[in-house]
Parts: sequence; structure tokens; C-alpha cells
Amino acid sequence: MSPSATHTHDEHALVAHHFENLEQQRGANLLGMWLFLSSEVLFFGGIFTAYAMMRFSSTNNGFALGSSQLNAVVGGINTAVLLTSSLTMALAVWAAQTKHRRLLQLFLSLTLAFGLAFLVFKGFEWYHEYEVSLVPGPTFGSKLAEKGDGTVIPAETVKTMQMFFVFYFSITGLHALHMVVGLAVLAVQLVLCLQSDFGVRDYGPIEVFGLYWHFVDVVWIYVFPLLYLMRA
Amino acid sequence: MSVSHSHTTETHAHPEMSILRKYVFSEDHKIIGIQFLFTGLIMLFVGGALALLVRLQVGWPNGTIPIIGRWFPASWGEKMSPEFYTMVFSMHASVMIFFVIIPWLTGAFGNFLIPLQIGAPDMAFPKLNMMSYWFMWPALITIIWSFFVEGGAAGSGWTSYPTLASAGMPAGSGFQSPAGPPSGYGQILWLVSLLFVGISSMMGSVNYITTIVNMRAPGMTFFRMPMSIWAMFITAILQAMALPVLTVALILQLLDKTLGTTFFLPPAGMAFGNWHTGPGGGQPLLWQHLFWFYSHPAVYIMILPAMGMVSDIISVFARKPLFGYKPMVYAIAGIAGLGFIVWGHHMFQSGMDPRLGTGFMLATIMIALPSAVKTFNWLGTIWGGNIKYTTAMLNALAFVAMFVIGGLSGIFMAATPVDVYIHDTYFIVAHIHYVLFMSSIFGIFAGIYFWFPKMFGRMMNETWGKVHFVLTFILANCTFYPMHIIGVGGHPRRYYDITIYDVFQHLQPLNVFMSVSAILLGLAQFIFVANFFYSLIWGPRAERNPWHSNTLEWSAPSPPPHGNFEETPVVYRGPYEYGHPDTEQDYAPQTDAKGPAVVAAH
Repeated sequence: MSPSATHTHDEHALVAHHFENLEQQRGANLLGMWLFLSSEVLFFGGIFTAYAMMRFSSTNNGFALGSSQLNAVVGGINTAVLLTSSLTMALAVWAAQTKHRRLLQLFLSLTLAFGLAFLVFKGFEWYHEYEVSLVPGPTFGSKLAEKGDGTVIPAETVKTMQMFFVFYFSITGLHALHMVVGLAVLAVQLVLCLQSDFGVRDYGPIEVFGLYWHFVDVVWIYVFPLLYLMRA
Repeated sequence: MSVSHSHTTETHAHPEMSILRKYVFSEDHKIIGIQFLFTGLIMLFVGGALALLVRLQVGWPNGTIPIIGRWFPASWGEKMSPEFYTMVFSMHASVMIFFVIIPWLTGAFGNFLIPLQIGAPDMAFPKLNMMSYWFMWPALITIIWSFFVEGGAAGSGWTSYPTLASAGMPAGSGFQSPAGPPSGYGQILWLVSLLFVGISSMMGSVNYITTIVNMRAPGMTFFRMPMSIWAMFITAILQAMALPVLTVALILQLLDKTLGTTFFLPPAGMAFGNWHTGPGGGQPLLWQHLFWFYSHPAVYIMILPAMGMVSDIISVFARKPLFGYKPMVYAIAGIAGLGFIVWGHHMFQSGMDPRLGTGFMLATIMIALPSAVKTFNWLGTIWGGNIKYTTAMLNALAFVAMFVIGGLSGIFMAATPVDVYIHDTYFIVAHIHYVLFMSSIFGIFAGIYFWFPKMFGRMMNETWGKVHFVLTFILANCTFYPMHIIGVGGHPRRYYDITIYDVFQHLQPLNVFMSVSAILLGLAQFIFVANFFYSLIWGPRAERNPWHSNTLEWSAPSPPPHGNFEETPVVYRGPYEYGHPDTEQDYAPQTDAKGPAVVAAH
């Protein structure tokens, strides 16, 4: 960090009293977010480890069968939607840094829209799984036979499949929870951007939030193949 | 990183704040630290009372329990029921670990010391800091509440192993767990409470790391930081990286208990009494891996900050530079790093592959190396020093002595073949108390006696401090040392009543001796509380630097105002320049530009 002895009056209003200058404040906020995200890596790491342990210690193909019940096309579309929202988020950070207020508003709105679209798709997916009796519980798998080619899945395999769906709902649920938190913060930032020069005056908050948003995206990049694509 | 320091306090003038904002919902790191200190003190007495209940039951297994016995259900006849006993020892450990030691070391001392010792006006994220304290309250409320619910508080040990802890509750039975009364409602509240503690710790650790990296005063390079700060820094990294794994494990167990998932329940199903679960697909051992992945580093979270503070205090009162400053830093980092790869040593008895066990054993024994570096460096610091036996110093020296005993008994259980014999005996109980009570708590006492003048602007009474120290030291050894002996004698831990076994009859007199010592030890702590509150109000006013210490907090007023320093301090030297032969004054504060020539850190 370069030692800037004084800062302008403008800058002074943006710096919290315990920081020396804007640069230090930005550095602290970014580092704080990175630390939080690295702890989040371990949070998801815990549940991924549990998933891996269960999957590789299971004695039948229940996990793979469970995976093939999921709709990889919808999942794929959702992946594209989320990746695009990351692009618009990155553009929003760029707009804030280059002080393009209109563009900032546009890109934040697009990010919000794509994020909501992801959750809507996810909601439909969950509802579909509920309809075809894939939600773990006493009635799990009762409608599996209608769908398949007539071959009966052994009861042991159905139990393992249920375990797969327990993981599926836990992991996608935790991911969706992170999305909801992100969308709430995003909505607040968007409103502030529409009302004031928030974001272009100091791009710090947009940049810090951007890190979080990309992280949620990155988690999905691991979730998607782990749950949808590992079918063998 | 160098940071400009052109500001005067004028530009940072703080408007007058209401009492509520100043002392309750405060964003000032010092107030938050003191809030953690008081909360920890209250919980120390809750945890201590639970410990005495354990000792009452172990010492006099068929005796009636005074006072609270009257509130027991009539069918117990003023005696402890076995379920109540399991609840008491489980909650003793949970309260002491999650509500006393961790909040004290990281919450109280971390908050109070970090900005002051690095020369910052406050933490990097004051609001987050406030929230980290206030997230302790839902945790406190749920854990206290859990004592009063049906079935009582959690009683599956503080480790909450499945299947006992995570057996689900069959439909229609309310919160009754078939695994036993204390693994129903109380277990759910235990999980929720720990989730809140986890959120609180996560916020704290992010804040500590950011503050230390980003907010150091000009001239305060990493290798000019006092050991307390190094220890807090490394502890915060441990917290940030290990705790999320516990959080996810807690969530999974909560799902097992409430939604009927089977993450931690065996694939073949299980039976408790007349009740059978349907077959699941989970792995009880998975919980142990996830739990210890956090809880072993947590053991270091509970001692590294104390090590740091003790290093500072010993150097001040030996009037000598800390021996081997950099090796001390690397030793802490080494302990923390190894701490991540040794969790399996808690599971030698779980049927683990012996080849894997060997790896965990070797990694665990390697921790003895950095620990020995620390111990010998403390001895090297004291050696030939001009020692001042203040209360803080006595407690710090007790830390070193007791850590040697606790550390050595740790090597016993690191060795798999020995551990197989002493696993789940009182030897383990002896070890954990030598490390966590005799080391961490003595470190905390040393810290309180040492920084009390800075926290409250008054001195604590030295005479009563020494009386408290001597009594605590003797009685704690009387309480915990015999546990080694009965442990090697095979006395199992967590048993409701061992007198029914003939083989343990001859150990009972020692049990009675330990229980009597424990009760006296508990009573002796009231001397500390009396001294603490008396000094808080009537103690003599403290000057800025009563111990003639070098670190930055002593250059601020006692107690420091909001914003800490009159002007941003500039650091010219390391923290341990005591007893320089060429100068009359035997110390050189870090802000001292003139003083003796700056010595390079060695």
C-alpha cells in the first residue's frame, strides 16, 4: 500500500474513522471477504467430503442411479444462467470502477435477474423431484417404477439413492441459501445505486460483493458435475 | 506495508454517545473485549458448578446432593440420576470450552489486545465485532434454556458422538429421543447453540486476521509484533479454517435429528430398547472425522493465545528479551499447522486402519518439537533474569510448569499402543485438565492480572492475588494430579458409579480426596472474583505503564479512550528490549526513537 499522506476532502467522507485512508479501507474489506470465502470453502469442503465418503463406500450403484434421475439439461441451463450472472457482476464492478453510473445500474439489475432466474429454475426442479417421489422420506421412490423401463431397482439400491438425494437437497439447499443471501445484498446495493451515487463514488462495496457472488458461482461449478454428471 | 499517520485525533473526534451505544451495543474493541471477559467469568461459574456436581457424584456415588438435590424429581430421592450425571459432565465440557476458554482467549484478550498492541485505533470491522459478541447471546440463551427442557440438556458427551447423539426421534414421540432423555430436545438446542458460537467465532477470526494484516501502525512490521499478537493471528487462522467444518457437521446432525436424514446413522439401522430405526445409509465414524477436524485445532485455539500472552508477561517480569523470538513464532505456526493433520489420534480406538493410525501418531508426536522449543525458550527467557514475582508472573510461570506436565502426558496418548490402554480413562481427563485448566486458565489469570490496569485503569490487589494463586496452584494439582494415577489404574471416565466394580474399590479414597480438593478449588475462585470487583471500584489508580513494559498498549492512557492513542504511534523497535546493559532505564518502549541502538530481531 502506498503511503498517501493526505486524502482529499471527498475521500474523507468515505473513510470510516478508524482507517487512515480509502486504500487501507478497501484493502481491509477485500481481505475480510477473502478470509470469509476461504472459510466457506472449508464449509462446503466438509459436506463434499461427506458426499465423497458415502459415495465411494457404498456397495451398489445407488448414487449413480440417483444422479441419472436429475435433469442435466435444466442443470446445464442453470449453470449457464449463473455463469452469465457472474459475467454481468464482473461488468458491474468494472462500471463502478470507471464511474459509469447507468451501466452499473444496468449490470446490477441483470445480475439480480439472472440470479432470480437460477432460483426459479431450481425451484421447478425441486418441485418436479417432489412430484416423482424423489424427496427423502417414507414415500421415497414410490413412483420410480412408472418412469423406468420396467426393471425393478433392488431395495438396497433405493436406500443408497435416498442417501444421494439427501445430499442433493442439502447441498443444493445450502447453495440456494447462499444465493438468497447474495440476492438480498444485491437488491440493497441496486436500490442504493438507483437512489444515490453509491458504487460510483466508491467502488469498494460493489467489488467486495462481487467476490462473494463469484464464489457462489464457483461452488455451483463443483456442485453441478458432482451431482448431475457423475452417472457411472 | 506502511500506513500514513498524518491524522491527529482532532479529525477523528467522536461525538458523545449514549450509554447504550457506549457500553452495551458498543463497537469499541475494548468494550467488546470486556463484555466477553464478563460473560466468560459468569459462564466460568456455571461450568465450575457443573464440574463440582461431577466431582460430588464421583466422590460420593450414593450421596444426596446438597441444595439443588431438593429440585430433583421425587423419585431420585435427592440423588443424581445416571442421565442427569451424563448431562452434567457433557455440559461442563461444552460450557467450559465454548463459553469460557474460547470467548476469553479470543473474544476478550483478542479483542482487547489486538488493536492496542499493533497501534490501531480499532478493529478493521467494528460492526462485525459487535455482532460477534451479540451472536454469543442466542448461543448462551439456548444453552441455558436447554437445562430446563424436557429430558434436560445434552448428555452425549461434549463430543456428541452418533449414534447416541444423533438418533432421530420417531414420529409422534415429541422431542423424546429413544436413545435416552438427554439426547432429545437438549441435544437439538446444543447443536443450535454451537452453530451460533460458530458464527460468532467466524466473524471474530475474520476481523482479527484483517486487522493484524491491515491496521498495523507505521513501523510495526510483522516481526516487531508481540507474541500475543502472533498467537492471536495464528489462532484466528485456525478458527477461520477449522470451524466451518464443525458448522457443516452440526448442520448435518441437526438434519439427522429433526428431518430424519441418516448422515451419521449406521446403514443397517439400529435399536434402542424397543425402538428400531429403519435402515439408513450413513456412517457414524464420519461425524468423528468431521468433529475432530475442528475440535483438535480447537485444542490449540484454547492454548496458543495463552502461550502468546505468557511469553509477553515472562519477558516483562524477567526484565530480559524473549529468548528466541523468531523460533517462538515459527513454533506457534508449527503447532497450528500440525494441528490440522492429527485429528485421527482421537480415534485410535475407532477401528481405524493401523497404517493410518501410524501416520496420525507420528504427526502427533512431532507436535512435541515446537512445544519443546517454546518451553525451553521460556526457560531461557527466565534464566539469569531479574525476576519480579508479581501475581501475573507467578501465574505465567505456573502456566509453563503445568504445560510441561500436560504436554508430557500428551505424548503418552499420542503413542497408539499406550493410547489403546489409557483411552477413555481418567488419564485423559488428567491430561485435558493440565492443558486446559492448569495451562490455559493460568495463562488467562496471568493475562487478567497483567492487563487489568490497562482495561480498567486500576491495579488489582497483589496480596490477595498471590493468595488466590497459591491456593489455586496447590488445589488444582491436588484435584488433577491423582487423575493420572487412577487413570493408569484403569478408572474409566464418564461412569456414573464405579464403586460397583470391585477392581476399582481401592481407587475410591483418591476420588474422595480429589473431590474435596475440587470443592476447595472452586471456593478459592471467589477470592479472585472478590479481588476483581473490589479492585475494579476501589483499586489504586493505575499509571500509564505500571509494569515498565515495552509494547504499544502501555503508551496509551489507562484505560485508553475510544480511538486508543492520542496520536498514531510510530514503532522503532521490537517488543522485548529489556535490561539493556548500556542504559539506565531497563526497558525501551517500542515507540522510543532515541533509547539504545535498535537491535535486530534474532
